Amino acid sequence: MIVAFIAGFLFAIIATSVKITTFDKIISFALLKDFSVAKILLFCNINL
Amino acid sequence: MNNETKKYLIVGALIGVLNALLATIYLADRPIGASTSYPFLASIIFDLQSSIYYKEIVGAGSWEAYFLLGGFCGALFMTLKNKSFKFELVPNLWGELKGKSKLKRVFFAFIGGFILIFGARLADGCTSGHTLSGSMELAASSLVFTFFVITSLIISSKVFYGVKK
Repeated sequence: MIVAFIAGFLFAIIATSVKITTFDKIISFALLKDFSVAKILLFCNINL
Repeated sequence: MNNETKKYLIVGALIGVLNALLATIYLADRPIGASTSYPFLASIIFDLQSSIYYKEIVGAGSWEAYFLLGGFCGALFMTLKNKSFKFELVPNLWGELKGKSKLKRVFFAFIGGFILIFGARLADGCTSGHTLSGSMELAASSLVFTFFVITSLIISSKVFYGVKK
């Protein structure tokens, strides 16, 4: 359980370093077309 | 490659490394996931621990509950460190597009949360379990899930917000 807690802690620190969530960016793209599709694909699919 | 793109590349890689480390038998033997913690906690709150479903999810659910607790603390730590902590019931984007009504915001947040968890249970995973972890493992179900999540996100945001700037 300590590992889970630390993993969540690290995940939040990593994710908040970009200050905005993946899905906020998709919504921004859908509505305002103000971001590069490449960024979201990069963010999601780098894990591949 | 500009700095903004580099930042996403680094963040994506770090999450990938974290996920890969967790998946090893030496750490957790479990990928990142989140949504199973909700039925796990709900089962405890509503005294449903004798159900068959609870017995199926108790392992993943308890792990993910601690993961989310760590996530909450990590996010709190970062906002306090950046001095950006604040209580906000109506986010800026929502306020601009749907108005400042707190009741309306809470209502739609509840509906959205309900649909999200219902869908995650149907798919046996959420955007964390499927999009981050399952995609990393090239799981076919996760790739299909991710495709439809992004497609429906774009469509529903256009339909729901319906704004053209």
